[in-house]
Amino acid sequence: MKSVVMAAVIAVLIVAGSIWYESGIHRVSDNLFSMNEGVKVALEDNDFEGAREKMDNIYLYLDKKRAALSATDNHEAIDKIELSLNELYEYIKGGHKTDALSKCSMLEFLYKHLPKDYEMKLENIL
Amino acid sequence: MLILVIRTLILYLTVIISMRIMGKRQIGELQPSELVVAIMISDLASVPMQSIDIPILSGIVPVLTLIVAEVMMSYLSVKSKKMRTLIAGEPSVIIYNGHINEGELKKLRFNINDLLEELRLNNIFDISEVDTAIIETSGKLSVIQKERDRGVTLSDLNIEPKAKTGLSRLIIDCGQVNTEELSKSGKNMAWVIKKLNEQNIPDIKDVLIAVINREGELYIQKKGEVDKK
Repeated sequence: MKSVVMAAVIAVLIVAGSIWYESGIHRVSDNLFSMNEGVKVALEDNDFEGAREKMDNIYLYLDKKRAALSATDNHEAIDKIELSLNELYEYIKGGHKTDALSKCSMLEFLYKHLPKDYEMKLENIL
Repeated sequence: MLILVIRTLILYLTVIISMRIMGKRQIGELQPSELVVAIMISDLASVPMQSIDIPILSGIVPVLTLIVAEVMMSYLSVKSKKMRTLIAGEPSVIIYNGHINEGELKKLRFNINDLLEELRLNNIFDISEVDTAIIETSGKLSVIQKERDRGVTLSDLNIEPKAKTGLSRLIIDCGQVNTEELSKSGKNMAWVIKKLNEQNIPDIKDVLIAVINREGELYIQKKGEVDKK
């Protein structure tokens, strides 16, 4: 009976943890997406200084969320985001608007993709 | 590299705890569903153990999920006979009244050689001695021999057993006294010291092992004692 109770507790923890994680990763993804939008708007206005400031905010935000993301998401996905962010930062520093905007589009995709593997969808189950 | 050690230790602990939750029965004799769980757990735990890119949680969560499923299935099979039959199957009687049940053998894809081999593993070398043989759900063969071929028991001879039943108690282990076992044996420290003195052992620390058997006698072996034979 003890093991049944423990199994039930573990089951509740797994389900609750999964729901909490899923909502959390959605929030992180949405936040990163909107921050990226801010960088794109600044770039379109040729405000490179403003774009750099916004990039610093993205770095700070990612630093805060790094532990949670690394504990649950594939480390490769996070590495890809960081790599692209570094490239984007350099493009902004060099004033390469077109390259920077294409990197922003790539990052948009990566941010959207973060919670995709964990969404309750038939395609993810199959 | 240290991270690999830490990840391995975490997964090792997870698997150990999981197996403990599964219980002793599963470790001793695996039912089909338990065998599946055991194989899957070993594989699930080893992948994040080696690959640092994979979060450790993606190893721990599936292992725990399997354990939850297994414990729940076991619980349901205790509660419901239908569930028990579905999960573990039913024992198959392959020899009854000394006759081999060919239909059951075919169903189990067991040939005569397999049957004879299993009987030999049960110390039966002559099939004519067998009254009933059952393949248990764990795949082991249980055999009941014919009356004439069974060993004589004390009750057959109407003899009362001389040896008392019960457990022998380990009261000293490598010089350490187990007070709980000592009190369960009904003896006390004064009795132990007296017995040690009788065997010229002045200090308990010199004792490798001391056991009180079912008859209340003390068996002692000193540390560093060499077999003189």
